[in-house]
Amino acid sequence: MQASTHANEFVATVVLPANIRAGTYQPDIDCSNGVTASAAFRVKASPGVAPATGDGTTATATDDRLTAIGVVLLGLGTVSGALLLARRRFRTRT
Amino acid sequence: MSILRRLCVAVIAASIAAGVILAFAGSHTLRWSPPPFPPRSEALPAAVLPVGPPGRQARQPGQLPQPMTRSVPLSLDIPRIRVRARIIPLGLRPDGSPAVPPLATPFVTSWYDTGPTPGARGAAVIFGHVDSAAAGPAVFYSLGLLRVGNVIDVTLADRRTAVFRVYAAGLYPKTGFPAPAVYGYTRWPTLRLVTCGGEFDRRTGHYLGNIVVFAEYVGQHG
Repeated sequence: MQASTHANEFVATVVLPANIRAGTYQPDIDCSNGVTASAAFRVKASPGVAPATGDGTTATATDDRLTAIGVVLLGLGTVSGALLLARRRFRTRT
Repeated sequence: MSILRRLCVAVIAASIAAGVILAFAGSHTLRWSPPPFPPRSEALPAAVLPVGPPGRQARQPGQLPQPMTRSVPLSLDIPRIRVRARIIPLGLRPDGSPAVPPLATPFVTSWYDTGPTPGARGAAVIFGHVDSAAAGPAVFYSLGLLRVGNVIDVTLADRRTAVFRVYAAGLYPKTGFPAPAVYGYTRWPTLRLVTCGGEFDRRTGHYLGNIVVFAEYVGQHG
């Protein structure tokens, strides 16, 4: 406990235990000269974990653009091949 | 068979082959690199973590800039990884974990508003998403690239900017998250940036670790 720069005031330093629970506390301070004082303070809960900040998109998402280009090429090739074959058969008949 | 017809057949065969290869490769290649994480050399030993920046206690009080008064943070600027982001204040969720912005707004960060403001005494904590289906890489995707000495600016509601310098960065398993070092009181103003990192568990849909960047207050401007 220390004297304050203001009259009739003093400064007390209180070390709270690390395992103190969240809530409002109002400790009484009794001085040897009979003076009594109390101070209220609130202890807030501290989280023990970190939140989930991501859905794993960059770790799991495959490259849809490559797949799309591949599917388009595959489709074009298949259709062109089919047309070529059909044209060949048509010519063979005539 | 004419030359033209042979050419047509070759082109068609090539496009079918290329299509098969690209479709296969696309379905087996990640679109983005997994998020980077800091090397072990950037992390602080467990014994030092709760104390704060190393060397701070050795300096004389006159050499240190004055801590700032409480003012809500509005935006974050990290030149090293080209991050400029809005900050919103959020508290705790009913399950006791800190709230974060929705995944639909992956470029917004959140300040844990039950703790100190950046620049005031204690540890201010800011969370940001590492990735999101809405955008792919999110605001803190490159957080793991920050190294000791990099600068972080936080602009406050009173238009002043608190300047921080990184003094450690590490990847910590979620099962061993250093909560006291992240949320615990520090005598000097400090800042913690937190996001997810490490391996992604497809079964649970969560990353197995967290990247935490520890920074100390070095001054203000504005």
